Amino acid sequence: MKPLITVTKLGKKFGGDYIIKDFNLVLYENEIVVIMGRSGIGKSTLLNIIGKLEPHDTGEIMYDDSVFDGIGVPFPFVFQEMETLLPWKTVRQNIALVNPKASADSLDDLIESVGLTAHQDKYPHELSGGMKQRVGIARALICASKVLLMDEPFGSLDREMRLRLQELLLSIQKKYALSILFVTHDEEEAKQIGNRILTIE
Amino acid sequence: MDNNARNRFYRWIFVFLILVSWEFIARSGIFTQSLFPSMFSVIKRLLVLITKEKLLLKTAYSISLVLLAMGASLVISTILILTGRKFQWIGTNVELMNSVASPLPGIAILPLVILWLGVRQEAMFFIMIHATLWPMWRQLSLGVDRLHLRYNRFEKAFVLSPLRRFYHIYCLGITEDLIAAMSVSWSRGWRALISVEMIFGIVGTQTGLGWMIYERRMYMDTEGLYAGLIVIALCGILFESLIFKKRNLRRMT
Repeated sequence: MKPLITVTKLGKKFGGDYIIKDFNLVLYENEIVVIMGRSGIGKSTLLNIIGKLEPHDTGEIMYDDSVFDGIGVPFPFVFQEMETLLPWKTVRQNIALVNPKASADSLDDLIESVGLTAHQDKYPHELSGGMKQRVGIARALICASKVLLMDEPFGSLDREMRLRLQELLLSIQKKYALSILFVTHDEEEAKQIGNRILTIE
Repeated sequence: MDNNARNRFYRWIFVFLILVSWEFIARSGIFTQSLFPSMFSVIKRLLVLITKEKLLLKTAYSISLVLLAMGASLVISTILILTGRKFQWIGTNVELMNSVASPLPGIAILPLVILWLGVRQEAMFFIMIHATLWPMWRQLSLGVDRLHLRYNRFEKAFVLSPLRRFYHIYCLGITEDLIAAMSVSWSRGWRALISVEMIFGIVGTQTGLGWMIYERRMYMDTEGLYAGLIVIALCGILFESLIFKKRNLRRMT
């Protein structure tokens, strides 16, 4: 199996002390790796570093066997905060914004995959929390990346909604053969969706 | 009756009571007609000013000056905000300039401006920009900060081109702040203009509402003076309460 992300001895300092030290990870094709740990331990920081949103102090990150030094970030994100949707754009417009080159057909297909066809002309304030997260997932998928980075995307949803979105995520992962790095503090969620679980202590 | 209709009704009742009180005081003889004319004579004079003395043209001229100054202030604010975010030292110094200049009423710096630029339209325009720029810059700056705070992670995570980011996030997202900025800017500019017109008088080929009101005093045309003030108030209501009214842009938040 081909490694898509290889993290070796990753370290990150904050105020002189290491908050992350000697972290190793390999993400292969077509799998979901869950990074789990208690709140505040640095899971989101780790994901930000792997996603090139933050720099790291030690170690190496390889993307597809090479170091990423392109412009921007290597992989799209799905955030927990649903406020990152632009309130003045419809569902369809929010998704299309991040990839203007995406065809109308691929957009339709994606919106259907996340079950939002009937809601694509609505604005974020007209959507439930679960729907907003589905928009977030679709927005990441439209970037046509083989890897997604998901930072506690279902953390602010109720249990029933979380279970439904976990099922949706699994079906989408299977459909598009995605590799996903998924951060959560919920052990049950980690076991539900992860092929492998990395626990940070 | 819903809340909005009820509020409108109360407002009309209030206006009616003011008019009735005015008429009562005018006819009571407490003040002379030259100091406190009746509402009917003021309205009659207003109609004469509109039909025979180009009041609407003068008002339109005054409004156009304020709008022109606001347009220039919007451009300057945009440049200051963009450069201020790009270069921190510019941002810091613009903040300092705002702290110093914003509290200064336009009329206070008028003698200095006349010294530099003379009694010309350029001087009027300078005062107008001074009056409209700082509230515009402050409101838009706060709006940009709010948007940046909220969408910073999104901007980094999904690499949009600078132009797409500028338009889709900041231009579209700043609508509410822009309306608020225009409202405050208009209010400051309108007040400054009326004062400046009273002092500058005839500059160029056209005079405005401020000078017209000042002239009424010189001709002891008290009805005309009140009529002018009513027009000022109506312009204020038109722009602040209707055109730059805070809208319920729920989908903008």
